[in-house]
Amino acid sequence: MIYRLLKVELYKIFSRPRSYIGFVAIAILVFIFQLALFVDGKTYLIFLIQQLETNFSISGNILNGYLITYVILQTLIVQMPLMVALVTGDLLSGEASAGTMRLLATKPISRANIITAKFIAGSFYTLLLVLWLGGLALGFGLWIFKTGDLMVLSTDHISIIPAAECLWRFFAACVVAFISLSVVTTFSLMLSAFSDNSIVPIVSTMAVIIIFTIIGTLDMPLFNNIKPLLFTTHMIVWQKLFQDPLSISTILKSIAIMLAYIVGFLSVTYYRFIKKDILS
Amino acid sequence: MEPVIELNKISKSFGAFKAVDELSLEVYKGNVFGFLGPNGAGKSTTMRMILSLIKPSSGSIKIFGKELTSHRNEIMRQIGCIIEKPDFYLYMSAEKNLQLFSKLSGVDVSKNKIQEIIELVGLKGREKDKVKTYSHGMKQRLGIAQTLIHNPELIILDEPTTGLDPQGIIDIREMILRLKNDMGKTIILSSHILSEIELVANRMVIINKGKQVAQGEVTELLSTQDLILSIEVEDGKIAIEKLNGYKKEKFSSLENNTLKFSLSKNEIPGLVNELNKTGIKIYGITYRRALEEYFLKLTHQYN
Amino acid sequence: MIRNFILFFLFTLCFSNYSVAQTSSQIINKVNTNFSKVNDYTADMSIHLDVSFIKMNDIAAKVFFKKPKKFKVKAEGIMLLPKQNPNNIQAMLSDTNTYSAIKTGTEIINGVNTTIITVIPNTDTADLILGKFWIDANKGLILKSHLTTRSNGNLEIEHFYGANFSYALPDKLIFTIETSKFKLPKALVVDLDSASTEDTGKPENKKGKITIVFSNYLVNKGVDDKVFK
Repeated sequence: MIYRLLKVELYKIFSRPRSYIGFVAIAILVFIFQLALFVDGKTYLIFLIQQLETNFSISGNILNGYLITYVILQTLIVQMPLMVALVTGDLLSGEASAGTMRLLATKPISRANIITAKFIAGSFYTLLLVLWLGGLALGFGLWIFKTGDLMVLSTDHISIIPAAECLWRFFAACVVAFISLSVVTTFSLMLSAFSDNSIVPIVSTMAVIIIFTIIGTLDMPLFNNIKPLLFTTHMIVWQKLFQDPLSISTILKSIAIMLAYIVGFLSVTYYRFIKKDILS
Repeated sequence: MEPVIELNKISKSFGAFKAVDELSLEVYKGNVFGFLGPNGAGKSTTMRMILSLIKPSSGSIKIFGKELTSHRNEIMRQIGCIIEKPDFYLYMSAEKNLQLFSKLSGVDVSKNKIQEIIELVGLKGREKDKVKTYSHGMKQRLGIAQTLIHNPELIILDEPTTGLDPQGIIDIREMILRLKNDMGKTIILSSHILSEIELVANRMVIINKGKQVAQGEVTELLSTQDLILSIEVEDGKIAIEKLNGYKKEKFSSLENNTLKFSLSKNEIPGLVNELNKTGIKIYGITYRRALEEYFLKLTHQYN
Repeated sequence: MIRNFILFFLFTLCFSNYSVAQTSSQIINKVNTNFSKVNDYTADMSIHLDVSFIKMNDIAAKVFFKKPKKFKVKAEGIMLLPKQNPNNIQAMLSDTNTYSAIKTGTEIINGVNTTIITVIPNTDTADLILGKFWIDANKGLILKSHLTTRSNGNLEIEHFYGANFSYALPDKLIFTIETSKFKLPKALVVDLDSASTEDTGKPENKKGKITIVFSNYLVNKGVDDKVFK
């Protein structure tokens, strides 16, 4: 039954125009990025590496597909929670506001299965969105800008990742980004279980992410203690896959924290939805 | 006869508000059971409890002889319903909606069967259109189609005629009777309109403020033995004087020159005859059955 | 940059009438003689960077040289090289009229007696302000160089020789450079938490080391001109 339900859930997601907003937005943004870097990439690059050039003469294809992909991921993954929440925040509350929850909940399906199917469908959507972003950026990046070592620029250092290592790192980054976004998926799903309209969970998810991100950015002693507990702190851990030496323990720790959040949010969702009187 | 549904003293409170208060009833196989009450009486809450959308605060529900809580999925497989208003996935076609809901009911329904049902409810030719283009009446018909798609034993219809035009109301009524008579389905039908229930139901319950007011066979509850007769005369006071105590024990009120009597149908000719003898002008005579009169009062109270 | 450096010395040569001291001149001539034996060479290079703000694996590259001044380093990926390379120094020293050389002392480096030759360009617009070379006078090999330039500050190079010492071609060079703190504005890069930046708070100017190891030298075997295109 869960398989049947999952198919229905996926069908519902992919037959709604709003589900494609994220895909279209990503495609447009990736295209704009690639175009901008194709036209003006050299200037951008010179600006970035001018400090290095005081001491070094630099050669090689720096503005390559991997760098383009990295820059795109770095910029766009921050925006992806909104695209994810737009769909996942609506999974339960959307049914409530449309009145279809009444029908759904009178079918011979347990409420736990409804949540499970919605969670899997939402996660699948999130995964597709991440793969779409990664695939589009990398595919077009390598096609237009060719391959090369990846120069990762941080505010205070530069890492150069050999081209041969880039593919698996990008793949791993997509997996980690997917886990990060799954926190958003489950968080918005949880809020969705508490609401009978879609706007509240979507807006609340974004508000919480913005607030947590701001707290994470503020360098104040009061916040420093809670920073490691905020899920947003760990959501950018995919970038650590592009640092040498690879800090496996830090990455795994962040993944574990994010998984704990996912389990936590899901548990609340199950509890709330199973107990809930459907009055919508 | 084994009841299809047994409610045993079920109650539901939302905070301090008691929506349903120790309601008990039985619905038998092959019956159309009317659920009558003014708006806010607790009809929908009771139906939602039967459909496990709402958990009762107390009491127990048995459907098909099994406890609802422990056999929920098994029971739900045999139920088709419309609760409040028929809502669908507006971005999908009627056909697709029916496919999805039949899948969710655990049955794979053939395209032919879907077409058959669509034809039955009179939506032929519009099945490929997105539901967002449907009128309320069309959605209501689609709602009926949805309840029938998986061929359930028990059909629960919560105010299925709301918002329909007169022809739509007649169509639904006929469909209910066909389901009962031709297909032997058990149907629970809620309404706040007595005549609607009277025309199709065998048995009914009237609830008010979450409590049962009356329950039984429709013909018994709405018998002509207990009528409220209203006679509008030229001058009510003089008419009472001139009747000189005739049917005094049956007289109930005088309001705006309208005399009201509680009596049986065969007592009407005698009373009218007596009035004629007094020479008082009679402008009109109407009667209602006692329960009808009671229900009308209830409804006016809430509207 | 390399070419500019050479052109600069050629330019200064035209306006110079300063004579080089005999002793230092002899030593420098010996160095130049060694290198003049090289018409061309190729070698494999391994570049190891030890610079605080750069995290990078060793770079494998191939170096090509052809007289008088064709020089090319090829690598598969991104390559960072110090702005000064040994051929720059050779080219500079070979133009003896562009600078004044003074013997300023002796020093033992790695157990070898060296003569310190200080080189001052004959024009004050030159990028090089001061060059100091520790030269093994017997073999005509530079064992250490210290350059003070306008554009890159101070640079020190340690030269290690092996089988190709007779051509003055080193097996290993260790560059010690001054690096200013690397800082990019946050607006340009979405950065991780500052925990990864262990060096924060240290002085602005730091030393960086670049080690270049040469192997598989092929000297005077001919190098196709296409390589330099």
